[in-house]
Amino acid sequence: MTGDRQAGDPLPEPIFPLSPANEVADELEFHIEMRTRELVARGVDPADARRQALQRFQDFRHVTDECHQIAEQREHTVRRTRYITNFAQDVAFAVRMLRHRLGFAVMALLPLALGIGATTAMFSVVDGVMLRPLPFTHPERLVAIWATENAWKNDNASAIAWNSVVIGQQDYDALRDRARMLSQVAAWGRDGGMLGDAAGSFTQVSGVRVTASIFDLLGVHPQLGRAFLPSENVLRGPHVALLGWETWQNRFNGDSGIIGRSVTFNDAPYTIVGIMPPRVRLDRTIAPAAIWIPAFQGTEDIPSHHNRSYRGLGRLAAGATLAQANGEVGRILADVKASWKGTPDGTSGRAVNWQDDQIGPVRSSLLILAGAVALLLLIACVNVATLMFGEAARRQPEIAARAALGATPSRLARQMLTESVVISGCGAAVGLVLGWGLTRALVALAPAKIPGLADVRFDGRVFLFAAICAVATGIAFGVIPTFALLRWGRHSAVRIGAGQTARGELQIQRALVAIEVALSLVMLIGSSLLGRSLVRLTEVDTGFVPEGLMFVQTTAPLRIWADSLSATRYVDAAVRELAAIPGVAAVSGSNSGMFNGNSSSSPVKVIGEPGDSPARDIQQRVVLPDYFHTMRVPIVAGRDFSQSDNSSSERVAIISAAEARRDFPAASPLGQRVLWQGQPWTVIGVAGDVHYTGLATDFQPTIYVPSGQRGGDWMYFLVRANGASDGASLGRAIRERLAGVNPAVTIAAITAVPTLVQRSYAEERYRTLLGSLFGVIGSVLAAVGMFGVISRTVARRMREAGIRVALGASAQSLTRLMMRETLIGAGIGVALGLPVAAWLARLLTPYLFGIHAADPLAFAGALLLLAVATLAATVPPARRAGRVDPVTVLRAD
Amino acid sequence: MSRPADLVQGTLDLLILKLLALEPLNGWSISLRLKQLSSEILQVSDGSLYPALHKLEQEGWVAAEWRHTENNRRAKFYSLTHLGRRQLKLETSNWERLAGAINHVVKLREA
Repeated sequence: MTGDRQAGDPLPEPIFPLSPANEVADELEFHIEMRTRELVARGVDPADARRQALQRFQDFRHVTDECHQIAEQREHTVRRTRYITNFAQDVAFAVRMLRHRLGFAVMALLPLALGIGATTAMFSVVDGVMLRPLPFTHPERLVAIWATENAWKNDNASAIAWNSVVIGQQDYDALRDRARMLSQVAAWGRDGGMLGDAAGSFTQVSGVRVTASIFDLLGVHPQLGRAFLPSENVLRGPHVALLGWETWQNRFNGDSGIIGRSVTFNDAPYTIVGIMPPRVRLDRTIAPAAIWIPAFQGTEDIPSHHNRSYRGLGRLAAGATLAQANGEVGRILADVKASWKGTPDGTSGRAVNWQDDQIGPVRSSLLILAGAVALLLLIACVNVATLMFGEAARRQPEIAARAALGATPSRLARQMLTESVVISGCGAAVGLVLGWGLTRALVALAPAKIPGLADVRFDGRVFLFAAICAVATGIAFGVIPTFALLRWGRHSAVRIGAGQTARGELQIQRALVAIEVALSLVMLIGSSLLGRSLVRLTEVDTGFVPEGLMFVQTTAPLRIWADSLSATRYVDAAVRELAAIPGVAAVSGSNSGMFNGNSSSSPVKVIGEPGDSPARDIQQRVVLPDYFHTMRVPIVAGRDFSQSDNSSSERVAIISAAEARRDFPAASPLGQRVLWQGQPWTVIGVAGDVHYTGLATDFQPTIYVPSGQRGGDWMYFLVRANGASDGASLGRAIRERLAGVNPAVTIAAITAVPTLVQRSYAEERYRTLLGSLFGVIGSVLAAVGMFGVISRTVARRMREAGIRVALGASAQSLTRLMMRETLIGAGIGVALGLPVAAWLARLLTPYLFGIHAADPLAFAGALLLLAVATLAATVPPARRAGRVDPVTVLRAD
Repeated sequence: MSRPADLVQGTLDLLILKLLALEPLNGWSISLRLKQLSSEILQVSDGSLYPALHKLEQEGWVAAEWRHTENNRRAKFYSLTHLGRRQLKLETSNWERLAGAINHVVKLREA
């Protein structure tokens, strides 16, 4: 028989192995040929023989396909196993190589740890604040409901919040009854006050008033006891309350016997009927509420034009879209307003996704910050790429040798990329530790306005993100050196001796330096702009003298407050006592605080010929005697209040300069009368403008009235100390004296006013701090990168340097020579970076105060800093070249 | 000669493994050898042979490599692997058990 004895050795594995399809075809073809030959040998016609041979397969097509399938499957499995083994090999190899080059590994690790750490920290903050859904049932269907007052858009004082107006009971009822796009509606409002327990101790807490519908709406019900009933949301309804979990644990020791017992809140008794589950927060900028009470129980909530202090909440009905709900809410709220006033007046409403609504104000801030962090990571990557590039130059002989021994290009590339990923993996591990610390710092230092900071956690999502970062950066910074190396390293003969560099190498290195410098310039300019802006902000004249002024906030039990006579008596006695403290220069007070986010306003009209002016909103303050003197606010026209302005004399008021400009542009306001709070007041003086809420806004028109003519308001006290006294002892003295007047009144806070002013720009300060941090880190990285590049250049060109010195070159000229490449790279970087920075700086415009995005001083400052860093990084190693000893160097070759 | 019996699918694997245990062969030779050794009684259809061979290769019981035959043609030769040897032993004992049982029933004396 033919063809069945083996002969010869097996064929070597072909360079390009046959595809499974071709293999099968060849195999079957062999069989067909042999069969054909056999048939021919038996006498069958040759043409016929092949046909018969095929026929014996019955369905040749089917057989071929079946064999294909099996072969492909097998191929697949083999390839996968090979991949994994190769990968494991590569990792082991990379680790070994890195152990030999520990110095390089450490230098590569640090920027990566920094970059990945910062990025991870940023991600965990963004995740906790923005990305993670709220802990309620189907949180994406929850909407916040606001009223909108179109009329306010024209009024300077209220324009800023025209579309986030709170709603009242009438609005809630209308929405509940008529909104078809919302399956449920609820209203809630914050309520601060004194919580007292059976033992008689009181603390200032933050509580919420809620409608009974909120529990079903959110899908959150009391852990113990029961929720509120709709029947309890009525005027003078039963005083039931729920305790917040945290308060229950801390204040009441988790004693479930508290249910059924009574506590006092703002001087009224409430029976506890249940405990809320842990970590339930309606307002994510503060801690969970201490106490929950039913809404609409007080007279201040009686349905009326003026009684609006609730935030609306709704759940989208099945199948309803946000746009539909938004439109419907607008119509319903407009109708409600029209039914009071008789005609529509531009009031409307809106519904917006609740989570978006909460983070809206800080979203762009966070995103810009995230962008800056990403830039930082990029700088770190470029830094490491430069490093690896330098290393690659040294490894050319090794690569060439491996290629000669049969390593394929793809295998070599995979190996080197694996090495990069291993490095960035280690960097990520260190970076995670750094990131954890950074996250805690970011959260601790952040201004309170960022919602959800308490939700920022270092959990599985963050780790996953860090892992992805590590792989991505590893590939990113590994790609360039790998491909560069493969292009040159493989083909060149094994080279001995330093001093030769391929032309392309120089260019790539220059490009890397340029990119790093450009990126760090962008960051430096950004932080420089923020810094200048902050300085400008702090330089703003507040309009009064904060230094030496103390702000005293007291909380009184309701019984003192309710009776205007006893309130006045208390205030008078308190002022007398405080003034008697040694070291106190002046005492006064006002019924409005400052820099605490609150403001109070109402309409004012000028009375006179030819007719009354239109009513406009004005900020208002009832002030104690000596107010302007205590605050050191100048009276620019007319006179201050005096003793003679009391309850029996004509009503007088002092207006601020901004108000004088706005409502009395032509004539002097002195002697004119205004209608305020339903009564006429005569203007007797104009006071200098004062910033009461923030330094960045315009001066608000303000009206001041003496407490003697409109008494009964609760007062914040202002105590001005003369230079000598110290804050702590003054604070103690204040407490003692006030306790002496009436021990039932508690001191809520005594704060130095400069601290209050600083708190008003806490957010700007935070931003600037972060910006500066990034700017500094970025430029340090760039400087370190340049340092590395020059050091390597010098090391490589030592021989050349030696020759030049031997031939008479000066040390200086050598230094300059070594720096040339790097400085050219830096120059290109600046040329690239400046326009990019100028363009990106526009993004910062909303956060800049007093300067524009192209502020020359900021740019100049950044450039100067960069120049200094560059020189510091490049000069010392370059000078080494100048000090080379030609004999030593030339002999070593 | 009696009509050649069609091979039951499962036993094809056993026969191929056994043949390859004797020496490495290509598909054509397997078909030929089988006919030879069974005195023409056993004939494997071409259409079942090659799928069976590929399946055996996928299971890892046989390994394949391309070689030159005597008249210098390229062909795919299969040989038994270590795992294949174990499988052969397993299948042989299964077969013997089965054949013995059938034998026993068939040989029962009619009443």
